[in-house]
Amino acid sequence: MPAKAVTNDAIVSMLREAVCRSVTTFEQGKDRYRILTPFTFPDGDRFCPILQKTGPKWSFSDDGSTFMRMTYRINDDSIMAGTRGKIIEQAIQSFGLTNTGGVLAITVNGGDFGSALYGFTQAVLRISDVALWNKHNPKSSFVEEFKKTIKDAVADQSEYQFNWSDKLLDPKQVYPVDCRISARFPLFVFGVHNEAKCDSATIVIQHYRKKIERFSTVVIYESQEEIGRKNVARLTDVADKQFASLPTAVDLKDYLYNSIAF
Amino acid sequence: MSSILTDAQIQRLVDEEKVLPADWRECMNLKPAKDAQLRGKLEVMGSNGNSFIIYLRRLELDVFCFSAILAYKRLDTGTTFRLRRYNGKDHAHTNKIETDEILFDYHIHKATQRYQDGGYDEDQYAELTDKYSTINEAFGLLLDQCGFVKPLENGGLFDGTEE
Repeated sequence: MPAKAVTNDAIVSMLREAVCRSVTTFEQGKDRYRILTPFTFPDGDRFCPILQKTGPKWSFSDDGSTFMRMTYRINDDSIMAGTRGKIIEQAIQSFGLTNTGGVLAITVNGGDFGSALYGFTQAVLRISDVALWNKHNPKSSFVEEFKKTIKDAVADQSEYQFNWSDKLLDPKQVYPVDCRISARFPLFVFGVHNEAKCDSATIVIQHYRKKIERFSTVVIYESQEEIGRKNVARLTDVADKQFASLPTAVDLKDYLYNSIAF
Repeated sequence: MSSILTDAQIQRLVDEEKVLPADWRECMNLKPAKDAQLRGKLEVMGSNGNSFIIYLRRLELDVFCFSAILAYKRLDTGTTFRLRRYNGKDHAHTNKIETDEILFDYHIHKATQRYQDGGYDEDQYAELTDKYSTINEAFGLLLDQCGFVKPLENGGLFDGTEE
């Protein structure tokens, strides 16, 4: 017997039922519900926002869980830095969310709970995906942000050079400096994203201490707290200034102009 | 060592003896951090020379939203690898390969080779548990299950002496 053809109306009906079934609510107190959605984070945990009434208004909130989840992968100092921070800000703005001390929320307007939930979900998943950059390419985002920060802080292109090495003292480029900035005395800037780089920056600085009379050094960590204490201690002994994470261009510029005497 | 850790390598790292520093209880005093969180952190060296970090995270607004994480610092990739993650019950969890679900209950994420092979997070697999209900209890279970040894107490030269 041939299989009975499913009509388009039946397919649409099944789709609607499936979508409705995929969202479930659990009461968690007066005017407060936990929402079970079908959307998952990369670790398999489901996105379960809170729906709550504050005064006359209903809103969806994450209670702060989105940023907490991101810190499993990246240091919180680097969450809002550079390109990551821009994408997060864009997602918050374009979907109409609020960010109150790390708690993301969206107000339900005109009783349209569905649109608010979908917008909130889309924004949170987009924000969460930013943390994945660390997994797929741990270095490139930091390098890009490191370069941009220096370019923004030092407007004149002729004053800095990335991947510099001294042609006379180091012709084989064994002791490269991530960025040399021209000043009254040269400034060597190092970006440190892991322990191997931390150790090599220490060696390069020590090498030039023996060869060059006057220069200053700045170390910018992607996330200092992720680097071993002994590695940091050794680099601290030889570096003049360290930033525990990427500074803003303004902060770096302030340091350059106030401390280095351009 | 390839970028994927086998189940045997993972188990060796979990079982590796890790002697806690004398001030290990300090990390249980969670401190307010950015973004509505309370946090603690502890770094421990293993007897085989491997480096481990325990991260404690809890939301200020939700005592059921917490994580006690044991991570291994990989020297080959410069990244951290989550071996175990003891989670609260503020959310549901789906094991993508087994397709089973844990609905709003405490669960322990465990790193597995099969999830890494499938392109998932190393610790995506999780098991239901009833062995804790607070972050401090979760931390205690992590210490019990992951090779931690408490330092000798009352054995120091000045223990018990009054200033």
